[in-house]
Amino acid sequence: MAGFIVRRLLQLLPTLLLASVLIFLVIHLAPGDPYSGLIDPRADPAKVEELRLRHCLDCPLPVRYWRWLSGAFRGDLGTSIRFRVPVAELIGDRLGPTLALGAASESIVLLAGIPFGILAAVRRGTWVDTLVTIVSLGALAIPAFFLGLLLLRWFSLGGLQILPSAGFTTPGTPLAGTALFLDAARHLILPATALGVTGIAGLMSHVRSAMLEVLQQDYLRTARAKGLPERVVIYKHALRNALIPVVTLLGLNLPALVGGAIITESIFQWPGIGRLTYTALLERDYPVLMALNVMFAVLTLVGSLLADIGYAVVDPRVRFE
Amino acid sequence: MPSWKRIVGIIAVAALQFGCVLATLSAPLPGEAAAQGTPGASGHARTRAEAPGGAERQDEPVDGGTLYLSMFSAPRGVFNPILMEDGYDANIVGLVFAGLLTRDERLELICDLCESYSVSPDQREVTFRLRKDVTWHDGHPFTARDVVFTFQAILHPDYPGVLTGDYAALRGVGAMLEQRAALDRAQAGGRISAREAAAQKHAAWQAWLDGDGRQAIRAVDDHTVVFAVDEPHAPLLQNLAIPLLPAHRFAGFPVGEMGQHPDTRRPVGTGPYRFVRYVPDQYVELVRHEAYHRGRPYIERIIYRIANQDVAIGQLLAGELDYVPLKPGDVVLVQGNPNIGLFTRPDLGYQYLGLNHRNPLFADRRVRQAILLSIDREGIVRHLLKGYGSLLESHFPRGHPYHDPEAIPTRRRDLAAAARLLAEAGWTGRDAEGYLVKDGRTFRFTLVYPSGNAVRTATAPLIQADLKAVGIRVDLQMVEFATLAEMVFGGRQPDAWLLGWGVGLDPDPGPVFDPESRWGRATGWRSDRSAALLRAGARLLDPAKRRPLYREWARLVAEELPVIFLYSQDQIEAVRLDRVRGLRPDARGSLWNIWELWIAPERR
Repeated sequence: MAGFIVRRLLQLLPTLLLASVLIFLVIHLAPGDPYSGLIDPRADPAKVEELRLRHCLDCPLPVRYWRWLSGAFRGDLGTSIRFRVPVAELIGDRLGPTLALGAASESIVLLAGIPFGILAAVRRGTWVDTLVTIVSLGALAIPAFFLGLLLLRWFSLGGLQILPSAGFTTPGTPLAGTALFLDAARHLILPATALGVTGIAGLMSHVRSAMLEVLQQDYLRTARAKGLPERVVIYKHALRNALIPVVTLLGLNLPALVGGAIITESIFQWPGIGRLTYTALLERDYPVLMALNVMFAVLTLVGSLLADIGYAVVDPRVRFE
Repeated sequence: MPSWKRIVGIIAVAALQFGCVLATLSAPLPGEAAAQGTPGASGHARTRAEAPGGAERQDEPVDGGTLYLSMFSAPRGVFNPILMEDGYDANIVGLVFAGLLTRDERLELICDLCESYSVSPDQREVTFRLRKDVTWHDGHPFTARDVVFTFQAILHPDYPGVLTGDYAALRGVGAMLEQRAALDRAQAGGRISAREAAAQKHAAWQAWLDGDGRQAIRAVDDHTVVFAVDEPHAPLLQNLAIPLLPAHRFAGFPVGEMGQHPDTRRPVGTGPYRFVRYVPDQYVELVRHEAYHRGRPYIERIIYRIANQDVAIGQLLAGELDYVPLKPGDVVLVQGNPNIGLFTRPDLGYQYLGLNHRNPLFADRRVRQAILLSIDREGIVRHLLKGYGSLLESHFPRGHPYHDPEAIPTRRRDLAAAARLLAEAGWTGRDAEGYLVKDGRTFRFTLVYPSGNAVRTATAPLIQADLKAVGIRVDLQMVEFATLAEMVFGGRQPDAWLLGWGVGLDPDPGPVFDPESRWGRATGWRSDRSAALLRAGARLLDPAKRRPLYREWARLVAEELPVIFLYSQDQIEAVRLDRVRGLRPDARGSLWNIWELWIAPERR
């Protein structure tokens, strides 16, 4: 197992390098540069030209890639051209809230999706199955932004008015420690629900179909024939096998967790990575885009590695030698 | 397995996802600020309060409280007046900083940090006598040093911003900038190294400081500054009004790294409010400047929240926000609410349809006039802007001090006149589909337009349909903003495009119609008459003498149509009247006198 992980980690490096080349090419092949959106006639063209020279925007691509790579190896991701702050700081400011939102919404997906899936599979064909399917598909059909607005109407700006409408913390009240945590948690409820609810159906249907397949296996009939209680049959024998595809799903979800959710972030004014990515993309803020995309690439690779390790944990047949 | 269940599910998902796409498109997106040109530009003319009961209530100002403002895109956090590049940063800079000059209710320049200013008889020198009672937020007194520092920083060869060109008129600066541009070209061409170019620029800078620079920006004493120019240049005065930086905070710090100076993030200014903190993407917190020179502000704190445009109205109604800029379509949601005041004023920006005059289709002026007459611009204002806007006939929109409705009559849609003009231009034939043909060529072109601005995006298909009515075939292509900007101003020369300008308060249009600039090159329009008028106008400092010149120029542009002028949208602001008191809205907006406003004590 340890050897497998080390080998996979070593394979990661060249893959990452290749990914960074591809990302670099795609980003720089897009028309325009950080200054092309600056069309205000007050912006002095000679000065813009000089700044483009300063940022080496007309240098040959290999030169620019090398500049980026050598910086990245030294741990310097560069300075955002439009925000004028180090990229690491820009991303760092938003990483915490993004992870909080991602983890909270993913928890909702897991806590609702897996039990619903099991329930629907075990009670297959009954009204329970139908109800669970309809409810979760309904939730899937509601776009996150719409659900977000509804939640705001019900719980914040109208209706019950018990939760804050927007932001990560209450503006203007510097908090620390537990108070900060509780304040942030209150702010987290609505966006996490809006984002999580739409994901339930996907996981539910995966778990349901995996469970159905497993439930028809011979060894479950054997288990039942041996007189094991139904609870043990379902939760010990069936579920563990049915979770294998779910583990893959979760592993591959990792980048999405950190990638942010632009629409939900925008409605709830969540200071997340999603909106930063979008802004940087619109403005061709190359250093920011590179850092973000390489980060997503790392997470994708790590996610699939974690999924593979997860297999070994859940599936006794999988052994990495 | 009953498959109908799945099918119904898929349809439901598809329908809602489609709805989602539509709603997303109608939401304004970031990235638009740069396109809108001059940030924070205010409008002109009548401002009408639509709220019942009016804005003014007769009661005494009360100290304290917090004002909750909103904007829809996050500032970058570059709170430095000479480095910021977007309007969201400008919102904050406008509260934290002050400049030598500001605007009165007729949008004319008046003193802010000066006691008085005067122009020499030969119009080559402007003298500012500074106020002696101004202090920076850190308690340091404001002096002539700060003025000299700010403008020298902009002219410094390492300055990492884009305002330099605004000050090319100052003595000796034009020549220095030309030399720098030549060095940049040489460096880009590989003829000299970056180090060598920088060394030459620095040598020239030092020579200027020791020579012309002494005259160009001169601190006579602690409270007198004189600016000298090579030739009289009227637009310079509005450029001297920019917010000023504190010399004592930046002294000794390399100008080239000003973007990394802590004060660029945590600014220290002389404005009514002192910066406390910016929580990225969340809010900016400001506290009043006790020693503000125009009077100690009543409201103690300002929280400038970054809000979602669709949620902000709910937050306004719920009392979480005191101030929200509105889109025309949202006015109905708050209209008639006695607690909310609506203030409209014309904007200083406008939208236009750009044309490539090098394309033989558009070379004929009659064709351009026919296009203008074919487009139902009134319909755009009435339906898309819900009436919150006005038709535009020339470069000065309705809110501009130099707008002159008598000089240029409004042109309404007139298909007969358009057809006549097109026929005069030789477009007499028709093809099988009914489109105009001349010399075997169909009148057909591609209109590219940027995503983002919802109203502008919606005009593209209307223009297509309107032009089809006179036999012109338009193919539409929507692209993302930066791509469009690169196409239009990067020399790709598309046939036609939709974009907007922000117009400065000085009537000089800057390089927008200069055929040698990147803006003028986009259309390729040339007019010696226009160039001569603008040259003459820029040299005159007296508004009374300038007015007839710019009236003639506006009329010329309205006739010649270098671009097809479309419409100018109004700015609509909604304010909580039950909380915010002391409002005196005018052409500068509803919150221009922020230091005089107070929060009703019973509504805190």
